[in-house]
Amino acid sequence: MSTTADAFKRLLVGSPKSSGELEHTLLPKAIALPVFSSDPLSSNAYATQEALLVLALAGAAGLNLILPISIAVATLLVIVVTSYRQTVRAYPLGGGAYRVAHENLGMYPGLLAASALLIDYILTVAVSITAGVEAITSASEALHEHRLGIAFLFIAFVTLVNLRGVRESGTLFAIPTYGFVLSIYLMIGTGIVKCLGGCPLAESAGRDLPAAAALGPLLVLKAFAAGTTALTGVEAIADGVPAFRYPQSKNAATTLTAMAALSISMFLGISWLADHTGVIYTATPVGQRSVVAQVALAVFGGGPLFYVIQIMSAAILILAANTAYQDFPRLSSILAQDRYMPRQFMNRGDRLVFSNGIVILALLAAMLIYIFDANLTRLIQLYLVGVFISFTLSQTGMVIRGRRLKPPGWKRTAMISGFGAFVTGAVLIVITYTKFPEGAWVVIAAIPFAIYGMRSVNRHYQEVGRELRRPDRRPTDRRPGNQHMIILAGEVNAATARAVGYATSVASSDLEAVTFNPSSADAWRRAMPGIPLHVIRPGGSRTGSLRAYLRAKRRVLTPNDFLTILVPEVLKTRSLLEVLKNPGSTRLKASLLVEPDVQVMDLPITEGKGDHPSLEIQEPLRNHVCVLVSGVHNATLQAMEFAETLRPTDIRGINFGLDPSASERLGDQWLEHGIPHPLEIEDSPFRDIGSSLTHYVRQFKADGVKRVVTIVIPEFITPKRRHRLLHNQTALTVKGRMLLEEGVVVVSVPYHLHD
Amino acid sequence: MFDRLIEKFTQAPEATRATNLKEWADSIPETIRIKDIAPRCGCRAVGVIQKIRIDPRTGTGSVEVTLDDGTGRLLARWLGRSKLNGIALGKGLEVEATAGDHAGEDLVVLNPSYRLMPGPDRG
Repeated sequence: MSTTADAFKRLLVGSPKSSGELEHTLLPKAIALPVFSSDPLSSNAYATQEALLVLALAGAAGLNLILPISIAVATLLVIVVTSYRQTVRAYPLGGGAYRVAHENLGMYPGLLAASALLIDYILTVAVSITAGVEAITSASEALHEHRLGIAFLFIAFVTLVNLRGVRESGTLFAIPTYGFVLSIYLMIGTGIVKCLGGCPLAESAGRDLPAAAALGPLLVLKAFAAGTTALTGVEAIADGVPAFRYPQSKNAATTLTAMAALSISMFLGISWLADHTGVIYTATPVGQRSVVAQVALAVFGGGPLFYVIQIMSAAILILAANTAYQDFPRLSSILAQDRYMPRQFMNRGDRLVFSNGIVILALLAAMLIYIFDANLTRLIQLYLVGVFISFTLSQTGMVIRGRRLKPPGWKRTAMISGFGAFVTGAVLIVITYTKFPEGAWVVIAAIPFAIYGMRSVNRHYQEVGRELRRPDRRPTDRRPGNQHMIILAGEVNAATARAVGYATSVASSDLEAVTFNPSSADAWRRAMPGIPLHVIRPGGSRTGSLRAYLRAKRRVLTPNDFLTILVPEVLKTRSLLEVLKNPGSTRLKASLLVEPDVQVMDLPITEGKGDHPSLEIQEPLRNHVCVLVSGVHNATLQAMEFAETLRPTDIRGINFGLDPSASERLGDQWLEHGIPHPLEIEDSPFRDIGSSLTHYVRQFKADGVKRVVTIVIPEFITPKRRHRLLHNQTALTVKGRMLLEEGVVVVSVPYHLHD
Repeated sequence: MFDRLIEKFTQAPEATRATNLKEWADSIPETIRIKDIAPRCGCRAVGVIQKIRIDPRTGTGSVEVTLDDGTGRLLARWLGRSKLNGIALGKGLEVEATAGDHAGEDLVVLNPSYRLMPGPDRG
């Protein structure tokens, strides 16, 4: 990467952290609380309001029920938190409802929980950002038409801060979260004191409220379901246990309790005040103040504190998104570990956060906001279904686990969890029933797709794993065959001369050249008299004709032989742009890669660089072959065999240990398979294989003429195109970087996976 | 404190890591920093395992471990074996032997006695 781009990236997200610093990114409780609680605490800004909205349908009589309903919601919160306290103890690796359901209820319930959670996290970002934007745009009509832009700006900001690191975002966002808690407490405290001498009345108190519906059990149930919004975000801590400082489970459980205590007291306090100040909140009129705002106005009677509450509510609503930024990437990484999501989600970025998950979350949330045009009322309908699916599954799972393992006191906790599962299940049904036509169907329709997607990713990875370890396709003990090389000749230039030199050193006997360009044939025959040239006259596409030619060639070779096509390239400058400027060649190489049993070798030289622009053909004296090893399996073994046919000075396997704990096992497997070459496992402390490899090959001081380094990259080629995204991402970055290194030859050895 | 802050933001990440590693190595008693080791002198050094090279070829079989303590690199080589239990990247290793000569950039010690230890918690 160029230094300017590097510096810019460093400015944006900070300088890279080494893997060893991971423990220092763990959160102390005082920061973990706001990080994971901004979502559950923010729900207090609207939970009472949601319940009041339903109750108002029954007229003034309905409003009297707000306190009992709030107490019922608070009780449910206590039950759910008690159950989740068990969960964080039992599953210290995080993953919350997914882990619990996957382990105790089976794969499909696990995936159901996972997709419900993932969708819910995306919604959390979309809803909270939209809510925050609405709070801002309601202040100024002029900003309203820019709401999409403002929303994207907020998403970009939260994304960037999260890319900088868990600790960094946690510390920054702790201030508004604590500010919100303090200001609400101040409001509740002042309110209670004022109520001792007769409560002040809200602006809407005593408004004429005709009853539109009877106060039946269904309405009460609906109001209760609406009030359970206060529970959203409780699952956040259980998903994020690994983000806590040691002892992780204990700290997470304590934080969970603290969060519940804050949430319950705030929720009950707001509901009590709303009841006593006589707040009425109905679907119309449009311009009315929110319940919290009305209460604040009544308590503080305007003044600066009223505005503090307003500002803090807006801030916490935006910050609720931050909780999802913690959990979505982490859950994705857990799912990737269990092979339900692409491996890329496991990678930690420069700042030790799961960068890919963060970016995907931001993109999906932005897309959702765009589709729903930043309309809060429509977005909020999608919310909640996912939360309650995960609550129900998680608590049911904990009951099953209790019955299975029978830890001390399991009967009591299983009863609590069981009751909790029953109630959250009932709420789930009510929510689905009431919200389905208004938008919840989108979520319910999306979940099967998500489950199907994860299931197929998993099935694919398992098949690949089996295929890579199938003994009958293992190339060990197979005598390496001969190397047949074909040079793809364009013009006769320094790069072709080098390719000829290289190929002669490997396979002087079986070497030929092909060209699409009849006019350069004479020049070629003059310059390289010893090498037969075959002019391919494209019948259709160039690639098609070349592939047909290679296939015909392949048929006369034995299965043990290797057929390698050399692609010499002249790059004008040493920049990746130069590579991209020649898409034809890249496309050609990519299409050759999927041709069975053909290796593609890249010999780039930089024009002007190097002291041998001449056409003189020189066999390299030293050829160091490095095979990139990600694991010991059939693809690696085949690449090692390929390496042996190159008549190299030496061969070695190299691995950049992104997972230090795997390094010992890798060495053992290497020895078990009896590979007769050295293996080097090198730490890449900044998890940047491209840079580590660049550093590594530079120690050979290759000049491309006398001394070359050949990088052999085993690649998996899957029969289905859509599966290819799941593999070879590292190979792609490595190839891009290595093309620009002096004296480095890159060869892909594809391993074709069958269905 | 401000100086440290400026230093923190302008330092290359590799330099930060080296500082952290040296701090850790300094905390282990009776060990010498790698850059201070004189060739052909007895030494006891400590470092974090940066690279492992196993060579299973018969006759030349060896295990090589490259240690980094933030001041330099030390190559510990055990001949005639291709496996060393408990060796993994990122762990700490203390080696004691007579230092050999420089092989390229790295100082080499042959068949040192060794002791595994937890790696640094930073770096």
